[in-house]
Amino acid sequence: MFAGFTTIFYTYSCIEDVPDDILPKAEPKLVVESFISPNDTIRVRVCQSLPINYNYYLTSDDHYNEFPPLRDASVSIRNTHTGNPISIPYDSLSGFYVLYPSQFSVEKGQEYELKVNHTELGEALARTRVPSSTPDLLSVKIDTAEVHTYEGVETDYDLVISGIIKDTGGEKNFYRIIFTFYYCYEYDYVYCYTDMVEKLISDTGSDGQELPFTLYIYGYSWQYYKVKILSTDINYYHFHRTLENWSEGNPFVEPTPVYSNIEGGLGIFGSYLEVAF
Amino acid sequence: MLRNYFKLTLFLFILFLGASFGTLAQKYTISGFVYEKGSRETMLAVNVYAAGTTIGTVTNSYGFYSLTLPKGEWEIVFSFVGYQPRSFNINLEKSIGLNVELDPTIELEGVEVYGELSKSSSRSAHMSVVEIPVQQIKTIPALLGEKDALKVIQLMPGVQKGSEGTSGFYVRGGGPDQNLIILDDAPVYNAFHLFGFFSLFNGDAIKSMELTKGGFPARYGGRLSSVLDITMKDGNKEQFSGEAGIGIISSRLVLEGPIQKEKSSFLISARRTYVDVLMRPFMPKDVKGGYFFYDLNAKMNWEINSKNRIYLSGYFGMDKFYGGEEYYRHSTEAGLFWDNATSTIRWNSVISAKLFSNLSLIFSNYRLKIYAMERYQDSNYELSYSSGIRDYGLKYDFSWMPLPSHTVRYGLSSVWHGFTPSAVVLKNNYMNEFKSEINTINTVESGLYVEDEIKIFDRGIVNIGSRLSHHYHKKNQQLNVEPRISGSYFITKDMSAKASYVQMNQHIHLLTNTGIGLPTDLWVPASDLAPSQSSWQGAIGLAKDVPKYSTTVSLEGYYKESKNVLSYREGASFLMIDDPEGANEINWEDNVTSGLGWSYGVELLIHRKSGKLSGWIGYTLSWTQLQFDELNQGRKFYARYDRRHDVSVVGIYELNKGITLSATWVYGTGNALSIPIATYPAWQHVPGESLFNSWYRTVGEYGEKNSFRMAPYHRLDFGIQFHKKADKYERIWEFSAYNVYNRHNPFFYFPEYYEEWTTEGEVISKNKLKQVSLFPFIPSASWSIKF
Repeated sequence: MFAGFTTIFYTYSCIEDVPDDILPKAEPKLVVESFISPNDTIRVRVCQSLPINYNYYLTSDDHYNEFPPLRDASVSIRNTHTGNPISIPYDSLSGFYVLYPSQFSVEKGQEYELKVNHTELGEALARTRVPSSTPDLLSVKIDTAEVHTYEGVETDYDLVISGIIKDTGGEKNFYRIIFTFYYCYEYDYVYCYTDMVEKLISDTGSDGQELPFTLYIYGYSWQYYKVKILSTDINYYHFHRTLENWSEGNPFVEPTPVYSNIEGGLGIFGSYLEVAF
Repeated sequence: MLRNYFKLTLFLFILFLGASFGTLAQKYTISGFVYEKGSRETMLAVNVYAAGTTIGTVTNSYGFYSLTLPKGEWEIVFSFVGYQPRSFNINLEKSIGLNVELDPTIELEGVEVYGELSKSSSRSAHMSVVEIPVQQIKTIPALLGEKDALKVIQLMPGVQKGSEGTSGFYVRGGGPDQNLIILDDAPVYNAFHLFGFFSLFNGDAIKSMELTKGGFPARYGGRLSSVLDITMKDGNKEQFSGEAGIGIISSRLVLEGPIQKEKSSFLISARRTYVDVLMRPFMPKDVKGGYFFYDLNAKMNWEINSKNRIYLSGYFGMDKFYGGEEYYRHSTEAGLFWDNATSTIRWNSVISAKLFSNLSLIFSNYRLKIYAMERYQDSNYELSYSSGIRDYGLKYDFSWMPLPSHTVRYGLSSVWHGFTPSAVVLKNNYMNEFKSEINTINTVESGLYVEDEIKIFDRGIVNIGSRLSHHYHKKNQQLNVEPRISGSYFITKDMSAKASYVQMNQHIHLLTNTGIGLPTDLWVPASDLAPSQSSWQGAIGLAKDVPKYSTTVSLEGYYKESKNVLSYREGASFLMIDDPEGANEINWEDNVTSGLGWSYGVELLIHRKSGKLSGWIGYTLSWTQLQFDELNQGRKFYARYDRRHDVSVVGIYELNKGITLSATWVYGTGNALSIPIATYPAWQHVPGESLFNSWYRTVGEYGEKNSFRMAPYHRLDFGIQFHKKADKYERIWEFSAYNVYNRHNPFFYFPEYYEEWTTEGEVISKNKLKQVSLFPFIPSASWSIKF
C-alpha cells in the first residue's frame, strides 16, 4: 500500500527544497553504538549526526561515506561496581573502537558504563546491565518445510525454525532470534550476499511461561545459514523493536523515533547473552 | 455529588414545568407534517408560528410539528428559506391536524424570496451547530469534480481538515475518532474512500446535514467532539424522477419515485469509479489489477396511515485494490478491500397531537480485509488479515410538546458493539492451516436521556437535559451522568447571546497514527488499560440573524478539556501492514498511552444560505495542546492539527438562469509536525558478524514533539455550471479548477542526503529538507442530467 502511494507521490507530486528560514536549528551530536556480551570483543562505533542544512566537511578518506567514523574520540568502559574506566582504542582497519576479551572482561548480571568524549561534540554516556542468565531452551527445530521443484528439478525450499523458550519468572526478559543466510561467489575475490530475518520476543504478560516462536523463510536458495538466539537487556530490545517499526518517512504515519539510551548523544549501548543450542 | 445533581435537575424541571402548566387552560393543538410540493418529501426545520406573536416551533427530523395555542382565531404561518411561505387562518376551538405542502420558489421565474431563515439562529437554544445546505454542496467546486459533503464541512469554522485533499476532519481540537457520523441513525465507522481522499457522501441522496460542535443536546452521546447527523432523502412520492452524472473518475445515478402514489416511495443512489475498467484494455494479459470504489444508498418509506410511517434505509459501499500476475512458475494475487454497510428500520408514530415517537433498529458493519495468495510451482501460500466492527442497536426517541414553551425529548438507546481488532488466517502446504484469531470483543453501550427546550417568555430559550451513559465490557460496568445545558438570551428580535456547558464520554477508541481515515485504522473498546475518554466543554457566543439577506452571523468562543485521549506510544505501531502475520503478536493495549487535551478558540461565521449571491466566510482562531506522561518526556505539545488561523471564503453567484459561478478560498496555519532535525545511522546488530555495516539504516533525530510548522496552506478553487432546462429535464455542465494559482502546499517533508564539492575542492556532506506538494492546478469537467 505504502509502495503504491510512494509511486503516486513521486510521479505526480512536486518536490522542492524547504526555504532556510523555516528550517529547524540543530547541532551535530555524538552517535554511539555498541552491544556487549561475555567473552566477546567490545566494538564501539562512534560518529556524528548530520543536522538538516549543516555543512559537514569530509576528509578525503571519508568521501561517499554519509556517516564517517570519528577517529579522535576518547572512549572508555567500566564496570559500575568494581572497576575503573578502561580506555578503548580506535582500530583504523575496522573503523571501530575495539577492546578484546583478554583486555576487559564482561560478566553476566553486571552493569557497565560506556563514556565517549569528543573535543567538539562533548560527552556521551550510557549504561547497560548484562542479562544474568540464559533461559532454558525447551526445543528448537529447523525443518525444511517444503521443497520446490520445477519439471522435476529441485529449485529451492522453505525453511521453518521453531522452538520454545522457558522464560525465567520474576524478572523482565527479552529475546531475539536471528536467522542469517549467505550466498557467496568468487570472482577475483570472494563476494558474499547476506540477508536475515529476526523475531523479537518480550515476556510481558507471559512471565515465567513457555514462549513459542516460529520463523519462516520462503523460497530459500542461499548457500548456508546461521541461527542465533539471544537473551537481551531492555535497551537492546527497545532499540531493535523501534528500528523494526521505523517508518522511513511514510507521510501517513506519525514518526516513531528510534530508541536511544545515550545521554548527551544518540544511539544505543546494549548487552546480550547467546543461548546455546 | 450524583445525588445533588439529580436533585438540581429535578428542581429545575419542576420549576419550569410547574410554571408552564399553570397556564394550561383552554389550549388546543395544531399538529401535522410539512411536505415539499412536487415530491412530497417531508421537510425538517420548517418554521411554524402564529403571525404577530413570538409563539412558534419548527418541524422535527421527520417533518412533524405540534403547536399548542389558546382557543381563538390564529393565522398560522409555515416558512422555509427558498420556499413560498404559506399561512392559514384557523379558528381554534379544538385540536386539529394540518398537513401542509410548501412550494419551492426556485421554480418561479424571476422571483427571489428573502424570507424567514429556515431555523432562526438567534432564536435557537442551541449553539455551535452548523447546517450545510445540500444545494450548496452540489455547487461548490471540488477536487476532480467529485462533490464531497465532508470536504464542505471542512470549510466551516471550528472544523479543520487533515492532510491536503483528504476528507477527514477535526472539530475543535478533537481527533477524528471523536466525531460521530450518523446516517439515518446508523453510525458510519469509516466514512472514506481511496484512503481518505473522498468521502462516502457525495450529496445525491442527502436531505440534510447538521454538524454539532458543542452545546450537545442530551439526545446525542458517545463521542467527545462532534456529531454529524446526515439524513437521507425519502424519495419522491409524487412522480418518478432521477439524476445521472459523468465525471472524471466516477459516474453516478439517482432514481426515485412513488411505489404507491403519496403513500410510499423509494430512492436508489449509486456511484462507481471506473479507472480499473478504462485501464483494463491497456494491461498485459498476464497481469490484472486495479482499484474501484462504489456507493449504494437505498431508501423506502411507507405511510401506513396518517399517524404511522415506516422507513427502511441502507448504505453499502466498498473500496477494493486488487492485483495479480502470472509469470515463470509463479502466480500471485493480492488485494485490500474495505466495506461499510449500514441499515436502519424506523417506525414513526404520532401517538397524540403532542407526542411523537420514533423507534429505530440499527445495523452497522465495517470490515477491512487484506489477502495474498501465491502459487509457486507446486506449493500454495495464502494469507488473509481482517478486522472490523459490527453494531446492532436500538433507539427509541420521544418528542413531547405539551406547550409552545416546552419541547421535551426523552428516550433510550442501546448498541451492541462487536469488535474484531484482527484475525489472521495463514495457509500453506507445510502448515496446512494456521489460524490466529482474536475472538470478537463484545461491549454494550447504552444511553438514557431527557431534555427540555424551554422558552422563557420572550427573553430567551434554554435546553436543559441530562444523559446517563452506560458501558459494559468484560463484566465491568461504567456509569456516567452527563449534564447538558445550552441557552440563548434574546438581546433584540434578531440577536441573542448564547452559552452552553456539556460533559461527554466516549467508550470506543480509534487506533490511528495518521488521522486521515485509512482503512487500517482500528476501532477498539475502552478497557482498564485504555479507559473511556471524557471531556467537558463550555462556550459563549453571539448570534445575529439578518432575515432580509437570509444571513446569519455567529461569533463563539469555546474551551474544552479532555481526559484519556489516546495516542500510540513512541515507536509503537499496532498493525504493520507489510507484515500482517505479526499484527496479532502485539497487544494494542500495550502500545497505546492515555493523556490530556486542551482546546480553546474563537469562531466567526457569516453565512448566507440562499439568494443570488450565497456562501459564507468563516474564521477560526484556536489552540490545541496535548500532554501524555509517556510522550515528549511528559511535556505539553501542540496537536498535529493545531491551527492558529483558519479562514474559509465560499461564494456562489447565480449569474443568470443558466450560469452559476462558485469559488472557494481557504487559508490555514501549517500543521505542527515532528520532522527529523538530523539524521544518524542505526546498525542492526548481528552477533559475530564481521559485515557490521550491512544492516545500518539512516534514521531521524526528532526534537520537541510537533515543534515544526508546515508552511501555511492556501488555495483557490473555481467552478462554473451551465444549466439548460427543457420541459422534462435539466442538463448541467460543470467546469472547475482546483488550486487555481497552483500553490505548492506542503503535503509532507523528508530529508535528502547529498555531497557537495566546493570550489576549493572540499567535500561537504549535507542534508536538505525536501517538501512534497501533491495537488497542483487540476482542471476537471462533469456532465449531469436531471429528469
